[in-house]
Amino acid sequence: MGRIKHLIKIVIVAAVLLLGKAAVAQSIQGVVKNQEATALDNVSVIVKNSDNKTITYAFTKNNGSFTFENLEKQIYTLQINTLGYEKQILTVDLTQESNKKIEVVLTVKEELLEEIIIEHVAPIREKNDTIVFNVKAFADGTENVVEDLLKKIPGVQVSENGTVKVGNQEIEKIMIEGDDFFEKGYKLLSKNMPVRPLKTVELLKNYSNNKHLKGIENSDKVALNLTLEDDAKREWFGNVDAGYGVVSENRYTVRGNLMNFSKKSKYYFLTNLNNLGEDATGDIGHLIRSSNDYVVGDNQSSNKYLSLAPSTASLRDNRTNFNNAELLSLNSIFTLNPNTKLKAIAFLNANEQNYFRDSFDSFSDGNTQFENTENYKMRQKQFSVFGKLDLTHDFSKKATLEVSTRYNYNTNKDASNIDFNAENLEERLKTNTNYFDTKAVYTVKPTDKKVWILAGRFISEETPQNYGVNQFVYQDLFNTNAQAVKQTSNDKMNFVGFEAKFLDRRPNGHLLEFNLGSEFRHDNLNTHFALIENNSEVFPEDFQNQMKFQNNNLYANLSYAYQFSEAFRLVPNIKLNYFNQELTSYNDTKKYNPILINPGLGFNWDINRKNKLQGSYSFNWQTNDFMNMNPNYIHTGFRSFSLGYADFTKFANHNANLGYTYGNWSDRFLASAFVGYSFADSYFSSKSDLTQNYSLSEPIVLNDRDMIFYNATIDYYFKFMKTNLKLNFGGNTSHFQNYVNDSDIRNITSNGIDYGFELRSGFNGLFNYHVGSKWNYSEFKTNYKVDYTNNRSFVNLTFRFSKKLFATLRNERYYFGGLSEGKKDFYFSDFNINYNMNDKIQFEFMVNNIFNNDTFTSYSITDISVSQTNYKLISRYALLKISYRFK
Amino acid sequence: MFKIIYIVLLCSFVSHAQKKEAIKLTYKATNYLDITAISYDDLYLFTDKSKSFYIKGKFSYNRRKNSPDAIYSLPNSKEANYIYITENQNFKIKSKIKRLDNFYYFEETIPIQNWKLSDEFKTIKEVKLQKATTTFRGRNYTAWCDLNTPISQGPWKFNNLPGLAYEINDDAQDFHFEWQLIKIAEPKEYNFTTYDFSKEKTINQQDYIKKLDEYYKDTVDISSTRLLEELDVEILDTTYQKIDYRKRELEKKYEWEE
Repeated sequence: MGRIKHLIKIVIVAAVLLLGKAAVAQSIQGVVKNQEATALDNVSVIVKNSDNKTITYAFTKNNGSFTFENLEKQIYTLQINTLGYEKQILTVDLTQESNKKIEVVLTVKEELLEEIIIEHVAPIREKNDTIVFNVKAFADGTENVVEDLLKKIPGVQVSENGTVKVGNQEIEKIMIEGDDFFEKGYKLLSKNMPVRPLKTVELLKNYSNNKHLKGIENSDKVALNLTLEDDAKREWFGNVDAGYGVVSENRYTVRGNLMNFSKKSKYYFLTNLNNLGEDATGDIGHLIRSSNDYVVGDNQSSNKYLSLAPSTASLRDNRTNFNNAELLSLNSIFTLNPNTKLKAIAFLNANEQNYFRDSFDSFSDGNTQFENTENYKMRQKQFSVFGKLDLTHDFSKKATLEVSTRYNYNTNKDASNIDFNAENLEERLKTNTNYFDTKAVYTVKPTDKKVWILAGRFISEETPQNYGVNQFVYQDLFNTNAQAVKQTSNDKMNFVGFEAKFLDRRPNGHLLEFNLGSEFRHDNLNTHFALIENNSEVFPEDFQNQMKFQNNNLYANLSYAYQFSEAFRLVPNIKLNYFNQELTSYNDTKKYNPILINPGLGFNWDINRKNKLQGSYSFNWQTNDFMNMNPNYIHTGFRSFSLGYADFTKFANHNANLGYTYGNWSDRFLASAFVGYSFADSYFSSKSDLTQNYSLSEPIVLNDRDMIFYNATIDYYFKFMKTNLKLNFGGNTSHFQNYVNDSDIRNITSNGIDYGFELRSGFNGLFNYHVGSKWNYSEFKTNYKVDYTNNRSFVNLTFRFSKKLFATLRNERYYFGGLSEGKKDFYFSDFNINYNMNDKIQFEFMVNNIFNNDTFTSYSITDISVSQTNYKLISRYALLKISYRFK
Repeated sequence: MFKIIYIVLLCSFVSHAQKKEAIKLTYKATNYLDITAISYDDLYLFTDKSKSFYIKGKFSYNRRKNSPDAIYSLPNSKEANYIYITENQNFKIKSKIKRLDNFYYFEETIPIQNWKLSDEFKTIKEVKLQKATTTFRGRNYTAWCDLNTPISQGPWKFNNLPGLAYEINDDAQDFHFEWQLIKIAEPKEYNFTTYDFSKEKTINQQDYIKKLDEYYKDTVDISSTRLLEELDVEILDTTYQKIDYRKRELEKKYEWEE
């Protein structure tokens, strides 16, 4: 009985298996045709089960056939459908048969698909050109400040003094999340802001500073915008770096940043204290005196005649800058309401800088010859306070008002100690600056392609200077024996300007620009020069000035950019100036009212994708600058006095230039060349009286000066070596004349040529190199010739030992061909090593000036002198630095 | 006379009867790359089912909403940059693509995509859509299709769809792509003569991909050697190469690379 049950079980199982197998092996095959018996391809055949659930589908092949396999034993419905034919639904019963063959005939349907809109199609709007670089793609964690990061973004270059350029175009600003703190003073940001919270760096090309000019002006400008990681917003974050010298004199550096960027308010506080020679602010003049887009009154400043700061060796700041700098900067941007923004910037800067140099100069004009030895030490103490308040309000989408007020107070105290030939002297110079500036700019767009910009400005500045020296070396000049000398000078300046500017982008792509304006400037200059004789002051005639100068310039500019095709643009332009000038010196008044016309022409031609050409020509009139109109001498520096030109003048200049570029930034081969020529029918040269102890100079009008300058650069990337080769060649030549010491007119030709190469590798591994060499040849020809050749070569090596540990070694060599005796070449080496302990902490150890060079000698020439100067250098030091990032 | 009038009437009737050549489907294509790029693309399906044309529209770039000033676009171009012509007969696609500032014409054979239907449904504008998924050239796509509208061709290179695709999404996290059907226009006559590529120099798709690979690698290498001619700055490392450019491409892996 049990055996039979078992047998039945086996049979049942076998039957089930057989049936099951049979059940899975069902299939449907078919052909779809139309009424003319033509096979229809691409017909949709959908198989649904009895629950109306879609099981599978297929589209018929070219011969109209379709096949479905591995179906279950069920009843299926087939939906056969294609555009232009009536849909058919068939039932296929696979419970009885395992393979079904079907033929389907479809009948034509008159209507096809009707028009259906599922969502409204939004129009595409065109805005600026942008290329976005993801910070993560280019950063590697080793950058310390934004400037370091920017240096890594393709196309962006940062030069020695921190100027950021893209191609050859300097950037306008660096914004954070669309807001800008510093305008052209962006170096304050790039030299200090840390990189870690950054998410992307956006490069905005064809950028317009004034948002209403987008799409209207022709702009080559470029700006950078930094966007932050989401977790960096709405929170206070920042970092602190501190470093201290080990084993050497007290070298220190402290840098701190504190930031908070949220929608309604953005804050950026920073501080930088160091005595390593680092310049924390970059060129602050930009932030104080200029605007991104030129506004009437930009760069107006009162005149300073005296300065004690000597030249420094052309080496990096951290070799020659004996400084002790402190900077504190507080900046914020408040969004008061969706249409109004208030920006407040303030900084305090204090610096003490020391200079040490001694020089040997020999003068020769062919007749007179003498030599001077000078040992010069100077200390400069500087203190500066700056505040700026900007209010921007959008009246509508088409009108914006911007009101901006700035104030700067600066004081410099210079003290020098000089050993001049056999004498020892001390100079003291105190300079104060009081600068106040306010402007209002109203932009309105009557249509999408027309814009009016109305601006008004008021500036007031005063720069009193007080100078004294405790010895008297001018016996020959004044025919008297005094004990000391002093000078006070002060130029009080006031400026008022208005300008109306109109731009019209025509439908054919041409651009019309028209400006009308008035600039009014008043200067009140007083200089007093006194000899101290037996404790009383003597004021020699011819060395005092009391001048008032009034300059009113009414101008109109017109330019029209013809866009002949997308690739070619021609821009003729003309400027008309009407000057109303009045100079009063003591009681003598002179007036001058010239009308000057300056035409010009420029063009841009994109020959094809790789070749671009641009050029321009202009004819410019210039009038005499107030700074060289003083009728009596002013003491302008140690042992030098200068006189202004007695009269009003005007000079015309022709200027032409041509530039060519081949290739685009990421091509293996790139080349660019530039040539410029300038010719002046009349120009200011000088007549100088040079003696051993003093020099007097006055301007003189001469004729025919020309200058030509040119340069060319080639880049070629060697793939197999992963190295880029850069070749550079350039030069300039100029012909001019002057008078020295009762000579006849001297014809001078100056020539300069420089050429060099650089090789830079891009390996991904342990090691990278960057080597180069540059030669400078310089020559002056009068009735004899003097020339020299200098060279600077460098070898920089970088090592990446691991993701956390990396090091750099920099080596430089300077060679001066003109140095007659002693050392002609100088070697420098610096080393630093960085260790990233973790996300928050980083250590750095650096040794600067490993060979401990304490002096650097350089050689220079002018048309009348040859100088050899020794500069004292910052001696070797070792510094240990720790960086901590919080939040 | 009656006969003549009859013939004239017949002729005029015939001349007004126009051939309806192709249906136009408009898709909104969104690429989520480093920033969001949107374009409105047109897919033309010939009513005789011999071919389809997919023409990519101009891009506009969108950034986060709280920076209203920040809308970007690439420079305007008059010619369509990406055109795909699919020939249904032999499953070949002829493409015209602008890349690296050049136009490339190449031909490829497209594999038939296997869309797997799943049991999920959703409704858009009262149309019931079913979900279908597939993997194509390194990405996984989800399509929402209307099985009652028998259009198997999708935007870009999608084929063999179970029905008209209203939405197609790629499931990647960072760099993903989406298509959304915006409009279906009734068949009309269109001028396709500008899309005749027979006179252009075509290259093999494999060579084209090799060119791209080499270019992206070169650019990174070139960047790291050209940054900064001035003194002072050295490149310690760049991580760019570690982010393969393919991660941001639609087609991450090709059939011959597997």
